[in-house]
Amino acid sequence: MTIEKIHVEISELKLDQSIAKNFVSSNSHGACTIFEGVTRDHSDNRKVKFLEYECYKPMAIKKLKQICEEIIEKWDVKVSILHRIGKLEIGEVSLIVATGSPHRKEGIQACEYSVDRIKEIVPIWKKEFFEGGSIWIEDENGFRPFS
Amino acid sequence: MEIEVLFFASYREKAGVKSCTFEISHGSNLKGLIDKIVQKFPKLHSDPSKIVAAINEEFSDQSQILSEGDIVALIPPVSGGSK
Repeated sequence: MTIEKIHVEISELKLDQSIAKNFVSSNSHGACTIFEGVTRDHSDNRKVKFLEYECYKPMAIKKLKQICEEIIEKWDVKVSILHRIGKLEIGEVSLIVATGSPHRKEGIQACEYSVDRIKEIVPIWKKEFFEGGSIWIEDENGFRPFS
Repeated sequence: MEIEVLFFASYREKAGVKSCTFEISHGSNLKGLIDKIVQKFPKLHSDPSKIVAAINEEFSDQSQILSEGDIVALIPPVSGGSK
């Protein structure tokens, strides 16, 4: 039986980094890389109050798994991606990517690749609520659905 | 045949609904459906050819032919992850 190398989750609950870390850990690994995306209090000179994330869940899960499959094709790693949805206060974690690998280089590269790729193909949207209004953040140039 | 269409994020707000069913003729492609959707909800986009959609959870070219039971989702440019 092949060892499960990928793990993805989308949750309305606070993300638990230990789930990602435990999934990717192995006695044969010399590196564990963890990225956390955190809700920031400003954006384009706007003072952000909170964020809301919405997703098309079955497709988002499918696309996160696709990214993980791309990663294990390219690098010898285990990978876990956790994405939060719903309302997030400033300072809360919206995304966790963890990779475990025999050596640090592939783990760091795989982690960066997945964070970049999520913004290209995963149907998750962010609405920013700031003083005086709200706006959907849509990156037409970064969106690469057919890549 | 009937096709269920899902709206998310900014499209959901512009259409004012989360989903809607459209009647199209057999052999219609995604472009034909999107044109109908935009006729019903003109605020969605000034240029329907620019709308990206998924058929059954896969991004699909507007030339793709639809089949009975397909679920179509309109997908605004994404912004998940973290900057």
